[in-house]
Amino acid sequence: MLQIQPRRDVADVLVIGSGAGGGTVTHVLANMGINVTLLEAGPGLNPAKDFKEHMWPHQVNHRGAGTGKNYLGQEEYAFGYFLAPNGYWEIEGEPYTSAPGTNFRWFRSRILGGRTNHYGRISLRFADYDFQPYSTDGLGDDWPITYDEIAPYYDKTEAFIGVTGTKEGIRSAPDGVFQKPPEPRAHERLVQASCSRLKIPCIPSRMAIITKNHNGRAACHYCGQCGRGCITASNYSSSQVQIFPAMKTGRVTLINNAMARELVTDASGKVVAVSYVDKATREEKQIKCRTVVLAASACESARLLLNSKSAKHPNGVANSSGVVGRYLTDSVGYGLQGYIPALAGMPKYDSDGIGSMHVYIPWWEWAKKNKDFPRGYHVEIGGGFGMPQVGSFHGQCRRHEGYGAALKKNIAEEYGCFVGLSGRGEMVPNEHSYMDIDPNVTDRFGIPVPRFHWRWSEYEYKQVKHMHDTFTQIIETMGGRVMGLRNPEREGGGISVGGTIIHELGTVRMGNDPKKSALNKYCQAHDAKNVFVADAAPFVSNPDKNPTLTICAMAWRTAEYLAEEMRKGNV
Amino acid sequence: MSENPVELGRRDLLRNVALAAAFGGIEPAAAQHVHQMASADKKGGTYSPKVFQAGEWKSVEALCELIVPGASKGGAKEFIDLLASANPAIATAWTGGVAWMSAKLGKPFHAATAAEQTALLDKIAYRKNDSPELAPGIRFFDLARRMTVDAYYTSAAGIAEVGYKGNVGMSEFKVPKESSEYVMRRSPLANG
Repeated sequence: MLQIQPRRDVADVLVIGSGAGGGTVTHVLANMGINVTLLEAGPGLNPAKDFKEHMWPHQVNHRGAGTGKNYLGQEEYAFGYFLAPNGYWEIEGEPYTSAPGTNFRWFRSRILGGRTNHYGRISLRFADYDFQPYSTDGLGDDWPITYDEIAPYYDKTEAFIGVTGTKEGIRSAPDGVFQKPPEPRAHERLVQASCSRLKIPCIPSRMAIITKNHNGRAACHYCGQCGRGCITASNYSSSQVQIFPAMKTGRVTLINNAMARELVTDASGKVVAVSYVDKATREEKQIKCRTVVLAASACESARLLLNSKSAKHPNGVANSSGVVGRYLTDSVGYGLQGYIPALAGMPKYDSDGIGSMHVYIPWWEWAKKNKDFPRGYHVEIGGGFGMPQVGSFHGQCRRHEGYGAALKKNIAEEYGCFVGLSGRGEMVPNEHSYMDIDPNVTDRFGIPVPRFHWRWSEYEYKQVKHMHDTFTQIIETMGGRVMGLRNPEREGGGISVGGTIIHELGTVRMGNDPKKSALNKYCQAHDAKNVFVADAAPFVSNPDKNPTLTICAMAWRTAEYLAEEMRKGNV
Repeated sequence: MSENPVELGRRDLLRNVALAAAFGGIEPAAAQHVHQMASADKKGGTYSPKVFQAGEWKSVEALCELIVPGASKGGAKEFIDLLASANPAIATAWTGGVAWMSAKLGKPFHAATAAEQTALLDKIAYRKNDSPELAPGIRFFDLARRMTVDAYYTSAAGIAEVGYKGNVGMSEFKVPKESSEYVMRRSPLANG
């Protein structure tokens, strides 16, 4: 028999998940004087011990190769050994399943701060038209909110976390509250010149990295290693920027290694508690709550709702509409690399800079009418003299072959001569892409797992073709040669595999009509008033901007609404 | 692992921590941890192979030096032995590959003359020579080349050789004018 250990106290606000959404809610509420209990499915984070910032590869005997799976064509780490604790698409004991014909991979990050410890820090506002996709082109649905309603929360978020950028007045890339960006690297100036020739905008990138001291955090020291986690907290992570400071208010109770099982409802259907597994002891526990905020990541939040069935909620909490799990999308990904002769022999310099690119290409054809695909994409730019890593020169080994002095010469000559272009585009939700609960499979905690269904549509394949043609033009205009054979339509070798861009969202959508949506315009469940969702699950569409900044802005707005509803006694 | 690269790395790491501290924000616990990690890393001494026998060990060393001159300095054979000890498929590939080469030469690879060694490598270092006779050698050499290159270019010597200048803190990010101008001058976009 399971031993259920109820906790005596009742949490005012119980937040499930400590990533961008959960971190923001915790920060906002704690600073408003509200007590928060935060459940995290993974362990705590100690940046001093867990981050590998500034380490050289030769400071570990395996150099970052782990057990050498990469030499056998297998994957060992999602983004390399040196990255901040970041999770993976497969977790031992926590499976998921896929319907026949489906190729979708579900990334989970079980650690305080979630994916914000390692993510790319790209911080792009959605455009005004992104909130009205249906009104714009007749596909999908409009959001229940407009850009003007969310804009003040973009302002607050940017002002608080710190985002680089410049005012550009481009409709697809609304301006925000910006810190001064670093200057472009040499190869980035060349990309800008190429884009200028092609009449494509290429502007300073908007990154959640501070270039001046801010709220007790030190300005960036330009080591380029944001992904490893920053010991000086010069970039945004929910763990360092929101949760640790919020804990200093004394109003946050953090419970690590707590894997939520289900929302517990009373006879009236009201959520009164959350049950979870204490992973350290595998004991079943329950915590009573006045309100609950799901911020466990889109598919994990949907899973939790679908697994919370009762007489009053036969399809799961917040799911009288049946939409929970539907409308699953990920960003459309496609990349191309070019060898750029103009870069060969360039006087070497420290090009580390801020983590990732200093300039990027926002979508530029939003007003064009006769394209053969809807929506658009932005382009991320790679290149420079990166720290040599395991795998850095496998391309030279493959292309030039040979050995000895000739091989060394090829490696030395081509170092820093490449530019990579990565498209991140908008997928239109379709009826074939969704998740439900697999009736036959549970994880090691006995919790039923998601089953994914996935299919790209012609829209995405045509968009990727457009990316391919554009990237080829940009590379060739600067005198470069496209490297490798790419087939845009081949999953993995061309268009990304669903889930691998890790922008999966939409599974608990918001809307004004309770028959067609799970949440209202404040991300409060239509059919369970003390249940809120604060990750990317509520998003009605998946615009060509990375979701994190909007997760933070929406979560901030939801937290303020929740506080006000509590004050009024409505929840 | 040879002493030099690790020692250099340790010094650099400590300098970076000092730099980060100078820019503010680093906690004493972080600095302490890094110091401990670096001193643990400094331990070592003579490396005893975990997988390779004495003869194989000499052949691995000779092969690595041929693939990337200076590979020993970069700790290539130790890296390969370590990964072979962690991954049976890599161990099989290496002991099998070394034995295949020795069988081809009729003597241990390390005991062959330089001319005999390079004559063999000139065949197995290229896919165009693929044939039933050479296939195992070509497959093995592809793996050996990638692992040796990785070991060398992640060592302090290899990193210095390609001219990577980063992994140091700076207060402002600047691109040298000579670098930017060099690139633009050599591009087809030189005239705007």
